[in-house]
Amino acid sequence: MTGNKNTFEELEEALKFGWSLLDDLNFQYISDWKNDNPSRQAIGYFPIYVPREIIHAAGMLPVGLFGGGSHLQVIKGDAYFQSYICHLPRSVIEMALDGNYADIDGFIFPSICDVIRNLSGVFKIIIPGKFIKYLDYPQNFDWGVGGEFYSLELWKLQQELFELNGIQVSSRDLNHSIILYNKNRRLISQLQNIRSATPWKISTADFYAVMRAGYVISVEDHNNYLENVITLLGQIECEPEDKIRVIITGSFCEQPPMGMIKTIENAGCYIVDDDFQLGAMWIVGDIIDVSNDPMQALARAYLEQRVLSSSVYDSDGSKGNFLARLVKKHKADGVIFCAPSFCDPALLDRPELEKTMDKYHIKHISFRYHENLGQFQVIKEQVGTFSDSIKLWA
Amino acid sequence: MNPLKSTESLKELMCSYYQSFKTPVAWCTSAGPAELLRAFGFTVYFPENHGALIGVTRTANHFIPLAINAGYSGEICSYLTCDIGAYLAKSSPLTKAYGLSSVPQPDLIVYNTNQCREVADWFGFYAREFDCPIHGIYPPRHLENISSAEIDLVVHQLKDLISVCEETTGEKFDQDRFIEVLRLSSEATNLWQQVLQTAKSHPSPMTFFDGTIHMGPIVVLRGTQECVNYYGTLLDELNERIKNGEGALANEKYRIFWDGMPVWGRLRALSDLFAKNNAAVITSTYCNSWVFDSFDLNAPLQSLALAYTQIFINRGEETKLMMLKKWVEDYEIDGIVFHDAKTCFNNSNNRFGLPDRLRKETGIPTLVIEGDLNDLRFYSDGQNQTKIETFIEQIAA
Repeated sequence: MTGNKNTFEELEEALKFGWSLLDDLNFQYISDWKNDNPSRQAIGYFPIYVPREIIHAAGMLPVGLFGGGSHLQVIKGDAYFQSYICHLPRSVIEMALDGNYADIDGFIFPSICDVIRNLSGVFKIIIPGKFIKYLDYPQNFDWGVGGEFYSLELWKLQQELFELNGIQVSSRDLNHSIILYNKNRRLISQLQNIRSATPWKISTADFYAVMRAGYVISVEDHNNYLENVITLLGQIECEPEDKIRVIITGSFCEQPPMGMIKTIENAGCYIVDDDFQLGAMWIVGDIIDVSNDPMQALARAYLEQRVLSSSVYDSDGSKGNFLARLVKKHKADGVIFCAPSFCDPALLDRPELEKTMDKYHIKHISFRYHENLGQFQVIKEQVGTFSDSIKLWA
Repeated sequence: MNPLKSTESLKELMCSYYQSFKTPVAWCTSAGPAELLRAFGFTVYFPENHGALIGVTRTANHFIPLAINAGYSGEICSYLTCDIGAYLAKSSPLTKAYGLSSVPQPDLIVYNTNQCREVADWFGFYAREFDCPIHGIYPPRHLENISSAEIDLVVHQLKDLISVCEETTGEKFDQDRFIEVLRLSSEATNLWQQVLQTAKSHPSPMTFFDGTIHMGPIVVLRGTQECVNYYGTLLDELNERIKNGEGALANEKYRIFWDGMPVWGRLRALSDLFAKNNAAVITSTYCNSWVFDSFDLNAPLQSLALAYTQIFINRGEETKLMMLKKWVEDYEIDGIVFHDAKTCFNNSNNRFGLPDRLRKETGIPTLVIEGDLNDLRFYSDGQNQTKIETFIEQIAA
């Protein structure tokens, strides 16, 4: 490792900030943000993608909600749901019932799968009086069909937010928010490029924490934070280890426990790309930020600039090719299909994705997890063997 | 149990349906826009009906492992896994039942995700296998009140489907022909609704288990005269029973509502179990899924979009509660059984506290039984027998 000692300390300090946010299930940042101005409101949203620009332009804080992960022992949530659906809704319900979301004034449930859809209905029941919104996305990407529908959905959302805080949003406000989130996406992309090119400089666990901060803190703060981390990473040098390069896919909604990410890394892998917090990277490239109709710009971006994900229906096999292109782009040695238990979208996509990987002779393995999984030995052995087999025989 | 005489004509009708396939063939989801496809002259095949046949013949567990072997998870829809497994095994219950060598090859595959997303993946598999055009209708989901924008979205997609059909068949869309198919479909679905509503009588002349068999034509033949004729005959028989005070059960003491998917491989066993305990399972969300009472010949495309978007399975929690409450009241129900089908998330309505809310709203006891539509590894006969018998005892107490 080379670099100024202070730089490493500063980097460590910066990463600690990300981890502290990740570990804080009570969202102290939100309380502080609201204390600065008691009229402020925070809007929580569930994975994967929500056009945060609209929330931000309304003067609100968009907060990404993923559940409690491995920090939370789910007891009450289990009483609501069967053991054989994914863990995310149980964890989220537990937190809602425990008051962890007390500072959050409304919740948006974007269309992902049957679980999230129905969870919006349950939230209406368990948190009466709060703003609960199920935001549907078009699965038809022609402007005249899905685009018009989606634009209307976005206008409706803006109107509903207006009814909450009375702040009228102008095109200028929305364009300003788009500018900030464009910058955010560019910085994330820059950080991602650093991780991909030099994964020995920042572990995926740390990368995850830095990204995840953006789901809690304001976009302005996150942009500053990202710039700081990127600058610091530019000032250090580290020695690469003998590890294979992998891409993880299938973990876009319920998040893997940090222990599992670390286990994969410790078992001989550099994770050079993943879909863990896909919402932040959902839109590829900049959204037009000088338009007279920024709402249309947001809708068009969803239709024309989105990544491919299991939450988007696809019957033409393009997701497999998309993944293969990622493998090529990141010079990955293999793919780990890593989906939460009972995650229908990921499990439904997997056979076709695996077929495409086979077609391109890309090595892959698969396993499942849940967010508060505590036993990683089997995963360590599986990933270790995968890594060894590639290192020895690929 | 008191068997229905119409069952014989049902068998003949289903047999003639399965003999009728000729090019062009369209595959369609069970609550998909079959009327549009028929208007273009397609004979329409429904893979879900095939899935149900695999379930009823209790062969699903032979085929599911083949799909799992091909990379599909055992936790996803067992219609999908058993149907793809049967395809991979080059096997079909249609061979034994109707002499077909295989399922009919598609010229066009169409699905509607109003029921679930799985159909997109399931049908997509076949589009790739047969190198066949595929078209999906994606309505908004989880709807409470339905807005005109939401219906417009579906209408746009139906118009796209029309273009796809024109391209596949080389024929121009014939609006008159479409209206005629819709008229027949509307007539059949109205008759089917009346058939189901005969269960309001005391005693009920039919059970949910009868319904799962007699619903065959409304799924696979709606939009045809044969379908209309069949439900006319069935309705006559049921009305005759009502006139004679004849019930499906010899002694109907309790009236049960069934929510969720049937357990296809246990229809007879469950039917006997309830009957033995003098409990008539008289109606269900499932059989009502093919009641499309908003077809309007003056607004054919809009009403088709509305009919297929407003089905129970596509609604939000509050609307589902209201709909269930109404059924419970209309049919004077004593108890509700929720089937938690392990591989059918979207048609297991117990998972988000609905039984509890319904019990609070209506005071009617509810029971959740765990099982599956087709994968019998998730169904325990002993456990569910005990649960059901205890439940009926509780109702009786």
